[in-house]
Amino acid sequence: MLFNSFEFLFFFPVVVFVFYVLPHRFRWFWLLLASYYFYMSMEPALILLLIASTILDYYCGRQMYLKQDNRIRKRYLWMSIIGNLGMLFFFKYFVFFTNSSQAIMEFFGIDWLGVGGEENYVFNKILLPVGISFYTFQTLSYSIDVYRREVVPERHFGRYALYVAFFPQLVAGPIERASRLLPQFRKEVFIDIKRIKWGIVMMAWGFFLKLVVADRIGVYVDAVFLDPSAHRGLPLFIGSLFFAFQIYFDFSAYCTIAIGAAKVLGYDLMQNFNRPFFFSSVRDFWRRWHISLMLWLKDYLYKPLIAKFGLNKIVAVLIVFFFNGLWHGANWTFVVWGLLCGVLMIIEVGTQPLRYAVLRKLGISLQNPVLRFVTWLTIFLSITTTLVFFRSPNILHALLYIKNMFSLNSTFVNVTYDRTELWLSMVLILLVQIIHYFKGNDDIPELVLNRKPVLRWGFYIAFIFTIVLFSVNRQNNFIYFQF
Amino acid sequence: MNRSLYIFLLKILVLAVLLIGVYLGFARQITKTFVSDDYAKFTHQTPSLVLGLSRAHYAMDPYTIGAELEDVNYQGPFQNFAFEKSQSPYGEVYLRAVLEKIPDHTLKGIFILGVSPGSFSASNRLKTPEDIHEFDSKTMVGKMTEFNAHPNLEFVRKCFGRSLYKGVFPHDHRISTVFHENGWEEFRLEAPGYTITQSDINYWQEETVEGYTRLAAVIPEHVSSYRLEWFGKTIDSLQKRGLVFLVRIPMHEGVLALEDGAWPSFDREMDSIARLRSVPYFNYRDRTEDFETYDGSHLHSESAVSFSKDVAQKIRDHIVQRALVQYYDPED
Repeated sequence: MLFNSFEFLFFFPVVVFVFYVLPHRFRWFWLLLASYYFYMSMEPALILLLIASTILDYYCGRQMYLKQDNRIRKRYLWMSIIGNLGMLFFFKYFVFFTNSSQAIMEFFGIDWLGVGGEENYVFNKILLPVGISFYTFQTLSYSIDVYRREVVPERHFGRYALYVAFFPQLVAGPIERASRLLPQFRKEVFIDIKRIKWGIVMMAWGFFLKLVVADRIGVYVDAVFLDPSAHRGLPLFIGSLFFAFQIYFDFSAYCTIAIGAAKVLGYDLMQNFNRPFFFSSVRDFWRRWHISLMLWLKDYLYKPLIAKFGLNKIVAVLIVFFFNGLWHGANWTFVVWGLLCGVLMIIEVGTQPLRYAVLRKLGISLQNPVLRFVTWLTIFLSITTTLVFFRSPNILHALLYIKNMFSLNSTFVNVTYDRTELWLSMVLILLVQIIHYFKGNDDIPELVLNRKPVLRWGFYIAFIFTIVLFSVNRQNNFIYFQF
Repeated sequence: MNRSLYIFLLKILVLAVLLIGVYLGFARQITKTFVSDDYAKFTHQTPSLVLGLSRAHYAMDPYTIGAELEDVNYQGPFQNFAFEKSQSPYGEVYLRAVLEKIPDHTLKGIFILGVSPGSFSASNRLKTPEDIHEFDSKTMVGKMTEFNAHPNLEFVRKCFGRSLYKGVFPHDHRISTVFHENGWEEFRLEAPGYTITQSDINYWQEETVEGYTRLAAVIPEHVSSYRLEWFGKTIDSLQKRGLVFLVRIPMHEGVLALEDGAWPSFDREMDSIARLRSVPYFNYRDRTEDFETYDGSHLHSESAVSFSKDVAQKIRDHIVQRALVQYYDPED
C-alpha cells in the first residue's frame, strides 16, 4: 500500500479511529496488526522475513541482556548481524554478485553458474522485499545498542515487533533507534486534537511535496532518462538538476507523511532531512540529507572503522560511501554513485588547507557572498552529476547521459513534454525552496495552525483544490520503496 | 473535551467530503475535454478492431477502412485499439483487453493485427513469462478493468498521467496531432501556423534511426516466445469472432534495416504463422516509397489515409475471393 494510494485514504482513518477507541493495553496489538496488513498489501509472503528478523533480534537482544560473559554476548551479537545481513545479502545482493561474477567469467569463456546463461538462473526469480534495507538496519542498530549496553532490551515481544514494523516508517524510514521509539510505545497516548491537527497538516504538506512537486518533476526526468541518446545539452542538464530535486522531494515527502501519520497516533519520528540544498559544504550536505541513514553509518560503521580497526579517515570515508551506495541498490551504478560521493568528500577535506591558504593570500573572506555562491554552485553541480549514476539503469547509460549532457549543441528533439509543466515544475521547486529558506519541515504546521480561522480554512480549501487540480495523476511509487 | 472532539471530527468529515466532491467534479470535467491520446479507446465497444503498436495507432484510420468496406458484409464500425510500444505488445494482458472491446454478439468482425518485431519483443531484464506478464499488467491496458464506459473515471484515476487543471484550461500543445473518437491518432504535416517540411522529416527520420540504434544498445531486447505464443492465441480467439488479417506497416528503410538486423527471419515467421492459421498476411515492408513516415516509424496523415485505403481494398478483395471460393462448385 502506498501513502499516495486510494487504499491508504481508507486504511489510515480506520487505524486511527480504532487505535483511540481501544484501551492502551491493546493498542500495540492493533498497530502491529495494521502494520503487518500494510506490509502484506504489497508482498504477503515476505512478511515471514520481517517476522523472522523480529524474532531473531528479540531473542538475541534478550540473551545479550541476560548473559554476563562478554564472549557469549558477542556470539549473540554476531548471530544477529549474520542473520540480518545474511537475509539482506541473499534477497538483495546475491543475484547481483553472482550475475556480476558470471559476466566476468563469461568474458573468459567460463560458465561459472553452470546453467547455460543468465536467463536460466533460478535465483533471478528472488523477489526483493520492500523496505528490507530499512528494517534490517533498524533491527541491527537495536542489537548493537543492546550489546553496547546503550539500550535495555524490550521484554514485551509485541512492542518490539511493533518497533520493527511500525507502518508509517516501515518501508522507507526514517531508520529509528530503539532508544527513541520503544519508550514511546510504552507510554499511553491520549487524544490531543492539537497534536492530531499538527500531524494531519504535516501529512498534507508531504502529499503536496509528493503529488504536486516530485511527481511533476518526475515526468520530465523519466522522459530524458529513458533515452539519453535522443537529447543533447540543456534538456539533459535540466534532467539531472530535476532529478536531484525529485529524489529530495519524493523521499522527504515520504518521511514527512510518515512523521505526520506517527504524530496523529501520538508518536514522534525523527526528521530525515534538514533543508539539504542549503548546505555550505559537502560535509554539511550529508549532515542534512537522509539523516537517519548517515547517522547509522557514522555510529555503526565509520566510528568502529576508525576506533577499532585504526583505519585512515580517507579509507574509512570511502568504505562508508561505498556501503552507502550499495545500501541503495544492488547495481554498480549505486556503487559508483557512492564512491563518487566519497571522493567529493575527500577532495573537499583534502584541499581545504590549500584553498584556505589561497583565499588568505587573495584577501578573500570565507563569508564573501560571491565565494559562497560559487562554492555552493560547484558542490550542487557535482552532486547532481553524481546522481546521474543513481538514476541510470546501468553504467553505460549514465556515461552516455553525462557525455550528451556536456554537448554544446542543445536540442529538445523528442522531449514530448508540455512546456507549461516545465515552467510549473521550476516555479514549484523555487517556491518550496523559498518556503524552506524561512521554515523547516517541522515549522510548516505552525505556519498554518497559528492563523485565524478564516485564514486557516482558506488554506484548507486552497490545499484541497491544489491537490485535486495540480497532482500528477500517476500513483507513482516512492523512489525509496525500492531500497 | 467530547464536544470539541465531535466538532473536530465533523470538520474532518466536511473536508473529506469536499475533497472527494472536488475530485469527482474535476474528474468528470476532464472527460468532457481532452483526456489523453488513448481515452477514446476506453469508452465504447466495437465489433471490428485495429490492433498493434504505435505504428498501427498512427497508420490505420478506422473511418477510411470502414468507408472502403461499406459494401462488404461485416460487423462494424472499426476502432483503432493499438497503443504506443510499451502498452500493447501481444500477450495475455492485451488479449484480455481486446476481448473486452468486442460485443458478445460479434461473429462477423474484422480484426487487423499490425505486426512488427516490437510487438513480440521484451526487455532482456524480463527473463520469464511471469516477468513479462507482470510488466504487461503495469501498462495502461493492464491496469484497466473498464474498457467501455464514458465518462470513464477509472481511466482518469489510473491512466490520466497529468493534472486535472488541464480540464479547466484544455489546451494541447501538440498542434500537429489530432485524436479521433475512433482511436486513430492523426499526424498532420500542415496545421494553422505550423508546417512540417521535408527537411524536418529527414532530420526526424535520421534521429529515429540513430535513437533506435543507441536504445537497442542501452536497453537490449529479445524475441519473446511468450509473446509469439499469445499472438497465436489472439488470432485463434479472434477467428471465432470474425476474420483476422496480419499487416506489416511500412517504415523508413533505416528502421527496416535495423529490424532486419535484429530479427532477419521475421517475415518468414509471420508467413508461417499466417499459413498455419489460414489468415492473410499483407506485408508492406517494401512500400516505403508509397507511404511516407514523418519520423521514420509512423505514417503521417496523408500516408495513413492512403495506406488504410490500400489495406481495406486488400481486405475487400480477400473477402470477395473467399466468397467466390465458397460458392464455387466444381460440378457446375
